[in-house]
Amino acid sequence: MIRAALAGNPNVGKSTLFNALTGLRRHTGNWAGKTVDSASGFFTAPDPSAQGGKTRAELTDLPGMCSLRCRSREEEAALDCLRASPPDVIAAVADAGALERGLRLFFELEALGVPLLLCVNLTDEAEKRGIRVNCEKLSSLLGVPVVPTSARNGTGLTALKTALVEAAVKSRAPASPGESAAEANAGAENGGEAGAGAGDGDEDGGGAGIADPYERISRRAAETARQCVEHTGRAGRPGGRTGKRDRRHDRLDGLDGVDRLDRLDRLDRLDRLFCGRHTAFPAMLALLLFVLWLTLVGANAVSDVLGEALDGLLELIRRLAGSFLPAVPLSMLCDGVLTTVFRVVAVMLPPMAIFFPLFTLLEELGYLPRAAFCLDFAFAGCGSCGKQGLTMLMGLGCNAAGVVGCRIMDSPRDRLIAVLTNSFVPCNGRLPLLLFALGCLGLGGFSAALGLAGALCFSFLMTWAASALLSKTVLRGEPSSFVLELPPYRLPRVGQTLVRSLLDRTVFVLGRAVTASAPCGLCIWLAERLTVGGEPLMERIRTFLDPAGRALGMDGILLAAFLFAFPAAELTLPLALAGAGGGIEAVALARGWGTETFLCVIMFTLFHWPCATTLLTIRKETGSARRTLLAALLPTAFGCALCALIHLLFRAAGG
Amino acid sequence: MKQEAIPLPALGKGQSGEVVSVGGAVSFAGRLADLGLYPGVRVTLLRRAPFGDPAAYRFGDVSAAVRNRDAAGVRVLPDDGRTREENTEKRVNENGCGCGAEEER
Repeated sequence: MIRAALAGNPNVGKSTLFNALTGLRRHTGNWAGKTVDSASGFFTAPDPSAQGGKTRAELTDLPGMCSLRCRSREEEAALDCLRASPPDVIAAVADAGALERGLRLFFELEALGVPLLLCVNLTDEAEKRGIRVNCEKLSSLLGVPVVPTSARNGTGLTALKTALVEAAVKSRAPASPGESAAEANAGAENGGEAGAGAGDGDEDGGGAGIADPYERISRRAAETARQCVEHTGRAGRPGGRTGKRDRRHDRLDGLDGVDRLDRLDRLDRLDRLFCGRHTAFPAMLALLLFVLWLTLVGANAVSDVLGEALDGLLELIRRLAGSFLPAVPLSMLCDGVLTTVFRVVAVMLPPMAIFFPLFTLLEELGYLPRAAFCLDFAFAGCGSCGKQGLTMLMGLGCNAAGVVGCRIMDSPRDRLIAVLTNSFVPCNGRLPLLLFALGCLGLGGFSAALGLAGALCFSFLMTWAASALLSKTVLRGEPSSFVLELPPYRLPRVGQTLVRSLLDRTVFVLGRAVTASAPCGLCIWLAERLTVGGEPLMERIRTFLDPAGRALGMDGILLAAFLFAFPAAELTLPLALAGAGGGIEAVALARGWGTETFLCVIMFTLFHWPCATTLLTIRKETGSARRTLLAALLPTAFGCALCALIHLLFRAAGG
Repeated sequence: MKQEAIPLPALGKGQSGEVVSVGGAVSFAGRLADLGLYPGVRVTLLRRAPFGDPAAYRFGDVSAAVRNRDAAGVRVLPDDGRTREENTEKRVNENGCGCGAEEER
């Protein structure tokens, strides 16, 4: 079997290409640093050695790297992967719209000695911007196969597969000495040609004589890109004009800034709205409200229907299974396992399955880095890195993913602050609980969306407060310098993205329903029936937790639900309902749950220990049990303090 | 007309210049070089964030935001001609640090 790897700058579409080639579904997004770990998949391609035969190849998708001189964990991960088991062939993936940058990495990869080919991706996008890459010329200059692709549209994929396999087979075959020598010569000639090209036009000194090898690479990349990139379309500049300006500028940059501005896609004018001085924050808030409102309305509609259907299903199962199962296992199955699982599916799944795709759409569009750009002032103010804005927003989708995403930060201190504060933002699994509590407070429709947006904004505020606290105490220091890339907007393929991420999320939650919710439901069922000292275990736990719960404005049932939902955040509500034993209205009345209780539930939902998955991820990412403990204690301390404050305020107000 | 090199954030909105030197931490200069910002490259200040910091720049094929504090290590030779935007705005960037001095369009 052949082993191939995709390497390239961040956000050139490696993961999209990987998905298209292997049929797998890695998450993709339009921002640098979306993929921070590697993954492998397989594809088959015609075998060049066997006529009509097929060969199977393993493909590894590496995290994006700016260069081989690693500076962040994602780049380290990529290079480690390359060094640990060198693949037979590397496809260097370059953005057709930013060829020069891709070539810089290509020339660095060349030094690794692994067979290379160049894949020029995003050709469709570049074409729209009036940029065309002459792949034949590029191939002859570089001495390797160059394959133009557009992973999103699926063009060039077969050619890429074939080229990968051919290059790998060629590298494995014991090349005759003459041939390899000829190839080496060709490579040297090409390299020399490009290098000399850079030297020719350079007034300051010969390009070939530059001491810094990296600068030589930069010049070579710039020269090669200049030769192979053709500017077409509306902003095409007549070649004759080149001579008027300082020639070096034109060679290194091609166009001056203002011409470039004209050339930008119409979509990039969205920046005026999303990053404009007066419009950025209203737009951000409006976007947040809109997404939350859609989630709410959609979830309500689906939840009711789903809930009824599942109730019917439960009855059916109870009746069918009742014919051959004794009473105790039947109750274990129906009251324990299935009730919990069905509640997760009916109550928790719809908001998650609606919010996540909408969030993915914003991610694909390229909004996340813009939001981080606008929010940076706050991160600067609390002494942390602006890229934390990206990981904070990722946390809205899933805290574990947000924690892994922290690898995009270069300095360990900034990364640690981001990891420790990530779970201050409620992940999508906690949204339904917030919605439920808001509903109990009497908010519905648009006012609930407002309330939820308020809760999210409050969680951002607390993220900053916690970051500031950390950077003033245990993690004192200056935020490191960083560069936040602002990728061009890309119109997401709405239908496909929606359907795919909706299915992904549904499958994910259903999977967790089996692995976490079902066992948890079983445990609760057992805890309610096992007696210790004449009292059910669950009752004892609740009685034990009651004083603490009351001090936090809640009670034993709710606190126990939070505790038992440790394996998965989406379990909290079903567990609270199970503990309450029936309809929430009746219990609320009987137990005296009121405004105070639900406000505290909201606060505690926002700020408590991260779920088990997130904590495990933090343990893995930080490699320290102490830091993991800190990551759990920090939000919990915030939550407890806020809940106690609310409780005291209500007591003071109530007399 | 010969111009003095100025820190990168002192460029006006929409104004371009040529990078003369890149100072600051070695690792940061390396990051910028990886992205394509090194001496000799032309750079344009695209816009500033709502509170004036950071600012978004365009160089080569890349748009990226850098905090003013970090970008101050990069010195550029600004174009002497006014940019199109400044002409329409009839505004000249006069303040030295350029932090949020001018209006967004």
